[in-house]
Amino acid sequence: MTKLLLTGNEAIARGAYEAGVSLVTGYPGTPSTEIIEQAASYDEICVEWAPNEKVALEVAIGASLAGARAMACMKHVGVNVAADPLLSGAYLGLRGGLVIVSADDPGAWSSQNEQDNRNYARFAKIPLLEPSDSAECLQFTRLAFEISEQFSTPVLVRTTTRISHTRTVVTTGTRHQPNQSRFSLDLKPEETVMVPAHARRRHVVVEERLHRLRAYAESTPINRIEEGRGDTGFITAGIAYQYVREAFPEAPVLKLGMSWLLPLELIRRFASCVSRLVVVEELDPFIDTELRAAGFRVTGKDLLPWCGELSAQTLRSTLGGTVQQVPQPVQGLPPRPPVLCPGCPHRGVLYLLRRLKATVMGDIGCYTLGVNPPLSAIHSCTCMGAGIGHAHGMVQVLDPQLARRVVAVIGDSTFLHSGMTAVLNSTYNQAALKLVVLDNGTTAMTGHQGHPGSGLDAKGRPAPRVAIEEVVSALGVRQVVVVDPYDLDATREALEDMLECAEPAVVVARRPCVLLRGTERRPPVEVDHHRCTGCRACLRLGCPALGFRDDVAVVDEELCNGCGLCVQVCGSEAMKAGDAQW
Amino acid sequence: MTKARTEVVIAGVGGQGTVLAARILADAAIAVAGEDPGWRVRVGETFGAAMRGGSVSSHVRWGSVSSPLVPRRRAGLVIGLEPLEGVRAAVKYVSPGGTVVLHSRTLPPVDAAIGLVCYPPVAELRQVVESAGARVLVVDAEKLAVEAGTRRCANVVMLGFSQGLGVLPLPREALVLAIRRRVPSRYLDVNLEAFELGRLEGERYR
Repeated sequence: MTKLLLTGNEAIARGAYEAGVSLVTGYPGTPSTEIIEQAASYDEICVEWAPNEKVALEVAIGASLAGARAMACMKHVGVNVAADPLLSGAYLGLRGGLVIVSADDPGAWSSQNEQDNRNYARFAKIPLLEPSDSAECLQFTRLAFEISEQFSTPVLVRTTTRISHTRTVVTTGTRHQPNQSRFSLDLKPEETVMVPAHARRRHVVVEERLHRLRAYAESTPINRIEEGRGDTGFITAGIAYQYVREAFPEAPVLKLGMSWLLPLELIRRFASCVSRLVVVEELDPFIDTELRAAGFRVTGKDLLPWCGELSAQTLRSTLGGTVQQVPQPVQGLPPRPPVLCPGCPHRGVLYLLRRLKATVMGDIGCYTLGVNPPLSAIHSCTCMGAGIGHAHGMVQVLDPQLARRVVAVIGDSTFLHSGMTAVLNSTYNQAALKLVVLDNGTTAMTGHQGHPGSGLDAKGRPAPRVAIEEVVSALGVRQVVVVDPYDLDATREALEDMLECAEPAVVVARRPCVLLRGTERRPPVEVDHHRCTGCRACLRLGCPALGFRDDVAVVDEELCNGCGLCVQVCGSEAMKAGDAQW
Repeated sequence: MTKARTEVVIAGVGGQGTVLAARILADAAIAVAGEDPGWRVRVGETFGAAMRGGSVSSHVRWGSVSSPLVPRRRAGLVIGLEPLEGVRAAVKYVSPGGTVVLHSRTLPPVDAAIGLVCYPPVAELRQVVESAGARVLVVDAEKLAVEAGTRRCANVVMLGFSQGLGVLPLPREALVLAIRRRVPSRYLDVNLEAFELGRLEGERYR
């Protein structure tokens, strides 16, 4: 037993390890990424980055069918990708414990939406555990494997950003060794082959399982009443529990560790002790709606916000208690949005697409930051892999003059996640798709995780590297060019050729992420202040290392990585690479 | 059970070491707490897009706390590893009568560097916080960090400064122990020196 200060993510990995998990897989996505990274530090476990969440869950289900404990981890929108195996996998006769971790992102700190994945538990008819600190992340993950095996069901463990990324004290235990004698190929087709005749019978099993799970929810110690003083009782789960405890430290609380299925009898007992029942939950009225449908008189989403994160202060101001008057923060401080790093290999392509007046169907990754001025080069971002399909749809309906300006841009990791089938769609349906794959050799936005094109696996060991130009060729694209995006002339030529092409054409802009370990960094660019005319052409690159003082361009030597784009766009030869001669 | 709470916000720009500074504080707080069951430690961190040169802040709270976030205007101490980010956090979080320590080295956001917006003078930033009733100290942590061996340990200089100033209810030994635990061995001596230089500078303002 050791006491450690762990994030929720690290504690989930530890919990799975202690539970004797054999396989952990997933696709990186904030705020879930560090679960897999931490799991990769345990030698006993097979840990993988899957190309996408659907594959990850299918792999985990396979391991479970073979009798092993397995876990698939993803961010909330990743569960959408994995929804197909999730909903049908819930019908299967699982053998080893199967846990799916969904890290939700209320407040959309690093996401494209604020979806509430508790709904997936109801939708897939599986139990849902919601830890409220790192100690519970460990405890509930261990428990989730036990519930999964006891009821032969996938179990959803749902966290939110504040759980995933908050450090609290955790007491660790020892690893329960997997029972390898249970691993086998003893599959019962009526439980594992979901042809209609089997599926209809399995649906009955699933509904019966829900009844047994409801009984379990009534008795599990992770649903508990904390007695207190006052007439108002709070029902809450997850991070909202911490806000309730902080805002109303003396109040009676029913804390739900398992928030689907709901323990209605326990709730009835709790309700009989208080005169006012308040449900506190972030995002959707999940518990709230269920309790109203069961005939409870509750206060909840009629007062509390449906959008964004809660806080102890929000609870005090909406539900009563001591309200502290807080002055509004001062306006007018310049914002500091995230930007492409100095030396980012994406910058040149985005700069040129803007100059070429392209309409750019973007995707999920660092390059989405190119939406901000001065690059202003991204015109859509929906979900992983969406940009290619968006571009195809536009090309198919627009007249050729407009259609030739449409370009899809996608990163290497995102392309391998869900871009490939969209390229296949364009070659098959014969649309003149224009696509730039920004290949920086890693999953950069989430912090450099490996993928099938990176040459590294989840444990950092060498892995076979798939070449994206070979993949797009195999998908039927005949016009494929690889360029170095630090070479603006060559990149411009490749992009112009692509725009003129009458059939699907792909440019792979390849250069490793400048932050990647081992990437070459060149000495900082130098400016000749006498030659600089103050035209600001270089500032259109939106590079954090470039500034403007006393009517001339200046380079921050600490920040500059010497990529040389500014040297190439300067019209008065006022800039030179750090290792070049004037 | 300890009823006291300590609330600290550390703000900066991605890559400046806010996360490490927060973890050092939290480790020291745990060591001070011992086995008191009512004493909880929380470190709330922002990740994700903030890594790409955006605003970053870590909230460190200990004592009888539950939520990972410092409530508005409750932080006794706000440490700004960059002045604008320190002030951005301070106007939201510093308590009346609280202390704000700002590292003087400015890192203008891109929009300011290219002249789209103006980076306010540090004196003006300072006034914004002082008018909210907090005490402000500006430190040239980079100078002390360079003196210790590398400008990269300005975050630890700022921890030392806060301790020397007497606004961190954590003993020097607990912080030194936490630094020993968190900092990789090849950078340890430099960081211990940075802490000490910061601490001595802080004592001068006591």
